[in-house]
Amino acid sequence: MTRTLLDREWSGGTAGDVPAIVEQVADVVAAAGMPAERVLRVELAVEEAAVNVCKHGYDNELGWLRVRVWRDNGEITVELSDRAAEFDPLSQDPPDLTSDLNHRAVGGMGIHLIRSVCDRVEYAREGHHNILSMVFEIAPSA
Amino acid sequence: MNVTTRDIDGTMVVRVQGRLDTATAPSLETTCSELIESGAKRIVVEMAQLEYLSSAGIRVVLASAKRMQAGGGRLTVCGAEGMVLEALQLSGIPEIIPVCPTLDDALDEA
Repeated sequence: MTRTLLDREWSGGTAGDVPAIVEQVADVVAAAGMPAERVLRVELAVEEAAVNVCKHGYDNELGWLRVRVWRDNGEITVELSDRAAEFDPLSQDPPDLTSDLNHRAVGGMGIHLIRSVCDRVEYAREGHHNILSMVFEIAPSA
Repeated sequence: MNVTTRDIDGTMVVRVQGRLDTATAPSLETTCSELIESGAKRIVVEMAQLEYLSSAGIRVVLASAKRMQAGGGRLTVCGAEGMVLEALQLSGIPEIIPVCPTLDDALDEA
């Protein structure tokens, strides 16, 4: 059974609003029974995804963003939809994690972190929306 | 987030407490920049009381470490645990910046 935990839209804000979005998602995910250390990983994925929307989609503004969180049995899905130009974050090349300090790029880590902490992540372009769905198991699988 | 700096035998220890995220990373960046510009040769970023770290904070640590190395200095991280340590590891930081378990280890390393 699917149960909606959060469904909210933001618009006209700035990248400075991202922590408030992260906090709201964290609150509902924690209330759903996810252990605290796992909630922090959800927060990381949501922050990286929302910052990414601001950077790539809205020229560092927040633009329009809808955040939905739902629970389906033992899984939580966090879905971010935006109305920016088409951008598939999952198509980006993985960061170089092998070069030395001098040659290491300082950015480009956000998508890699999202992929690392989510149990599943999917991107879809639907109409004028970019939709990123990040799925987390509430408890670690045995 | 709180950022406090103290000098331990010439090593500048920067303690970050709370959440180092997209909103608070600029504050650490300012502190590190000021230390580097004032000629600090050894910086330790102490993360024992850090609860949360995202790529914005990792970017500041990495950029500061690069600047330190370019000027013949060194930046070290210590005290990271749980999600904070995991974020550093996922980002490949321990391979290029010393990440020590405790402040004492970092001071020896620095």
